[in-house]
Order: sequence, then structure tokens, then C-alpha cells
Amino acid sequence: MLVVLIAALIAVPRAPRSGPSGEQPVQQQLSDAELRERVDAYLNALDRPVPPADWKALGPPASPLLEAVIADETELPSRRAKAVNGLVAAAPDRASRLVGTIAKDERQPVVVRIAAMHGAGQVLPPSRAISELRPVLRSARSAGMRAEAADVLARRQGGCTEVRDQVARERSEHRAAFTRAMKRCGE
Amino acid sequence: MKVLASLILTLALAACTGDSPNCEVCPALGNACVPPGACTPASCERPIVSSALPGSQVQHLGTYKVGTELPFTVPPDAGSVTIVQQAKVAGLTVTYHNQIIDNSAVPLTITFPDGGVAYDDNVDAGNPSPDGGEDPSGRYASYGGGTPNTAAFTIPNTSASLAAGVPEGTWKFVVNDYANECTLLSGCSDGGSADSMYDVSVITRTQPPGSTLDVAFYIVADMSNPVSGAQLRAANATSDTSVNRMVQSFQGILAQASITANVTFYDVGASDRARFGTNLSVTNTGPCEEMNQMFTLSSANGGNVMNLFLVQGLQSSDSNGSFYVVGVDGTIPGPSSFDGTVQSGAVVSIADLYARTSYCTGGLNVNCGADSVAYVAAHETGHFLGLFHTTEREGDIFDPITDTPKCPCSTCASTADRPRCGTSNPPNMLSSRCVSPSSCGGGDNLMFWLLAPGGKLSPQQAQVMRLNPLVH
Repeated sequence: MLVVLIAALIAVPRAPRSGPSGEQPVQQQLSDAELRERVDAYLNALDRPVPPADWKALGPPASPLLEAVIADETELPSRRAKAVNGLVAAAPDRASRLVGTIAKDERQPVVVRIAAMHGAGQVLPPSRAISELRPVLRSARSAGMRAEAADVLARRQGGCTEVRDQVARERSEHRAAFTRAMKRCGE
Repeated sequence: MKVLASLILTLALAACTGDSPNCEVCPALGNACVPPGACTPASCERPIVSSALPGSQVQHLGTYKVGTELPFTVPPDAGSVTIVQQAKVAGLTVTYHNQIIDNSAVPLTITFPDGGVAYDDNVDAGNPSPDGGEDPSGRYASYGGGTPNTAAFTIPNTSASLAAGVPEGTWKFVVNDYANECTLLSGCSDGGSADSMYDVSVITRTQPPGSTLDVAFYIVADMSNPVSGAQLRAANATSDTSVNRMVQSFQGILAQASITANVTFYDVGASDRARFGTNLSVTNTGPCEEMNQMFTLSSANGGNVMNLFLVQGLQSSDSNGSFYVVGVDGTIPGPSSFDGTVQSGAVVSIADLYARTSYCTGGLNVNCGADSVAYVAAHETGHFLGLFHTTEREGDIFDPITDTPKCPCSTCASTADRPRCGTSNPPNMLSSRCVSPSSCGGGDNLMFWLLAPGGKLSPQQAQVMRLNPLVH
């Protein structure tokens, strides 16, 4: 128990708990080679994601590298999804121009679209996030994808009405996928 | 034995009154009175199961309250011992020094036949490494935490215990969880209880180390082969080129540890596929969370097997954002041979399975999507079998194994980054800085915290894996 705090951090490969709120990362001065090395390494994270503060510390200079990975349809989907996460943290303004389009694009890999949807929930104002993700919520071919849109919208003001309406339209075997969103909406 | 266990539980619950501040009435348990936090919704399944191993390897000791010291027998020529605690009644979390953490189950003490202490959870396990950080390789047993509800504790898992072996005779251990320790230590503000009850078993396996691992891949993702258009299901998995490449690479990685992996594929129901298969939440990993409830599906195909659940994506969210991860293991080690519990497996993203096929020739190539999935599956299997990250992200915590190279922040981070080592804002140890075996190594090890070319396993890592009860 004396090492319980350390243990809780290292034992199970999992996402980090929230850091202290208000902690502002200091943007580092890196050479192009150093920046490229870090971006490449962060995209290779396995079961411990790179904290957003570390992406933020790379700052806007990381944007072109991350945008290139996101746009490269020959790249591994897992790396593209992590690049979306990174761009949202490092350069939210740049991310806001991309996430809605990617989220709605049925040709993109599922995990890339999901990362974009969650990014939209973070970087877009609530009304725009709802308008961008409503088509996914209502029309995505996959029930899991519709449920993921619901999960994002359930966190935004006004989103729960959209979520409840969609759940009412879903077939019974698909409703289990909306458990998380409905819980957020107090159902 | 099960009847006796239920009787003991009933008596224990009946002794607890609803008027007590240490009890709450639980509708899901027939209005029984349980310790605070132990009552979970009916939708949260926390099954207690039996080991799939033969009776000669299993000592089912019954259901006991925390604080109870129990003897168990270790036979001659034992290779490993595993203590398994499964919660009958236990809270989900405790608050320690204002941090909410899982109510992990872990023996309070483990005692050798000669009375010596093999493990003590209340002795400061600070194991300072000469190059900074924590290195528990010199301890007989090491515990990493994060084992709520269903917990396995396997010895040997350090270099010291690999060298010393597991002596025969009558050992003892004390049933325990963090809620119980909260009643013994200062610093806990919530979740303390000395009333938790656990079903307890001890698994022993004799030498020599095993060489065969049976693996059950559960196809939870609703995914199609982009070329054929066929939905990926157990029936067609073995005729899918990318799946075959993934399996061969997975087998190749484990073969480095002299382990032969026999693979079987299973489907899950449509409702479970819809609920878990697209983007599993791994934000929290308590027994009632999505991932842990998915692991209970492994009861459908019991056996002494490694259960790997294949989903599209895994997502962790907090107030700072959402993050995609490619794999997560339930606990280190996992409850080997106990299928259907909330910790009975690991989960792997197969989003990359059909990507970059042009790289899928020759040996392991992490630029090949199928190989990338194989790498993650092998990494999470390593965790389940008892391996930790060789060097953690911050470069200040190392695995309890001496033959895996370390990559300490204090000596391996860039000169510019070193001042941040050990601070609240440490640099991340990149694999490119950890490829010099003599001083800054481990970046090419399968259990490094980042995916990197190599996927190596050391002889001692192989020993830990092969002495796990899952490897026969």
C-alpha cells in the first residue's frame, strides 16, 4: 500500500488519469529532426497514450507533420488516429478545420473517424459539433459508429436530445451500443 | 466446497446491519447489507469461476474475509505458485491521499515454509535504482497494483525469485485488498472496509517450464476484408491472408521465448459486437467498466487459454481529451485458467489488420498492418503472463528483470531533457534513445512502452512467461 500510488500508475497499461487542471505545458524549442523523432515515437504508443501536455508541448510546429500522417491513406490507421489526437492537442485551430470532414467520411478507417469525432467534440463549439456529427449519428452504416457519435454528442450541451431521438430509431439489437451515451444522458 | 463458501458468505452478510455506517443495503444482492461501495448494479457482472486446470494443480481454499491467514501446499519441484482472489463482496475503489484508486486485491503478506517473508504489501517496496527510479528486480516478489476484484499473484516474477525458485512445503498468505489496508493505514479518506470477502484458490505448476500456449482470439470487431468484402468471422478467419500473416507473426514473436502458440478463433453475439466492437472505452478499468464486462464473454469457451479480444478501437477519455490506444491487458499477471472473470483477457485493436499489405513479406515488419496487430497482441500477452514494461514512459520505473536493458531518464534522455527527469513533467523515453544495450537499452524489446522494430524477449522474460500456469 505504501507504493500504491506508484503501482496505480504503472501496473495496468492504461490511459493516464487527468493531470492537475490548468497545467500549461511549455512549448519546447526543437530542431526539425528532434520534432520528427518525437512525433514518430508518440505515434507508436501502445497501451499508455502520450499525455496531451506532451503533444501540446510540441505546439503548432508539429501540425504539418501530423496533418501529413492524417492525410496519408497508405499510413496505418492506428497512427493516423493517434495523429488526430495529437493535432487536437497541439494545434486545436488547425484540427477544427479537419475533424468534421473526416468524421463524416465513410471511406476513412473507423478509428480515424472516431478520433476525429472525439476531436470535434473538443475543438468545435457545441452547436457546430452537433451539426457536424448529426449525419454520423443518423446515417453511419455501422451501429457502433452511430453510437460513438452519440457518445461524443452526449457530452455537449444540447446533444442528449439528439441521442435519445436516435436511440428510439435504433433496432433493439443495436441499442446496447448506446449504453455509454445513454448513461451520460442520465438514462 | 462451494456450498460451504456460500454459507460463510451468508453468515457474514447477515452479521452486518443496515444501521451500521460501514454497511449499505444492496438490492442487487437481495437487500443484503454489504460494505460501502460493494453494491454494484445488476448490469455489472462479477462472476466467480473455477480454474480450468486439473485438480492436482488447484487448491480451492474457499471464501474468506480479508485479514484471514491461509496455509497452502507447494509440492516438490514447483515451478510457480499463483494466488487467486475473486471478490464475493468488495468495494470498487478507495480514496488514498485524495486519489481515487481501484480497490486492488493483493495478499497482505506471503510467508515461506521456514517463516521468512516472501512478500509484504505494507513494507515500503522502494527499490532505488543506482541510475535513478525504481528497480524491483532484487526483491523476491513484485506487485504492480491495478488488480481490482479478480487478482492473480504469481511467483516467480522477478530475477531474484527466478534464481531462488519456489521452495516446497506449507506456505501462508493473508487475504487482503486495499479497502482492508485502508483500515490499517492513515491517508485513506474513503472506501476502507475490513468486511470484504474473497473466493481464494492457489495454483501450482511443476517444473519444467511450459512450451505451449493455447490462444483464443475473440472477433468482436465488425470488420470486413477490403478485398473480398467478406465480414471477418471465426469461420473464415483462417482463410484470410492478413489474419494468417498476423497469426504467423504472433507465433514468431512468442517463439523467441520457446513458446508455441496454438490459435483458435471465436465469434461473439451481434449485441456484444455492437456494444464492444467498434470503440471500447478503457478510460477506467474497474470491474464494472466496458472492457472488464467484455472479458466475461470468455466464459463461452472455457479452458486454460489466453483470451485476446479483437476490437476496432480503444479509447480513453479525460478532461484533457480522448486518446486512441492499441491494446490493454486486464491485470499483470492475468488470472490464468480462470475464464469468464472481469480480468480474463486482454484486448487488441485490429484497425491496422488490412493496412500496408505491401510491407507484409519476409520477417516481422511493424510497417505491415497485420504484423503491427501481432506485435500488440504479443505485447499484451506478455503482460497477461506477468511481464511489465522494461522501462516505463518516464524512464524512472523498470521491470523486475535483470537481463532486460534499462533506459533511465537520468542518463539516456537528451541533454536538454534531463533536467525534467523525475519532475512532474518528465520527458518521454523514446525508443530511438534506448537502443544501446550497454547503457540505454530495451528500446527493441517487445515489452518496451512503445512499439518499435525488434520485438525481442530476454531469457528471463521467457522464463517468467513459461512458468505461468497458462503455458503448458
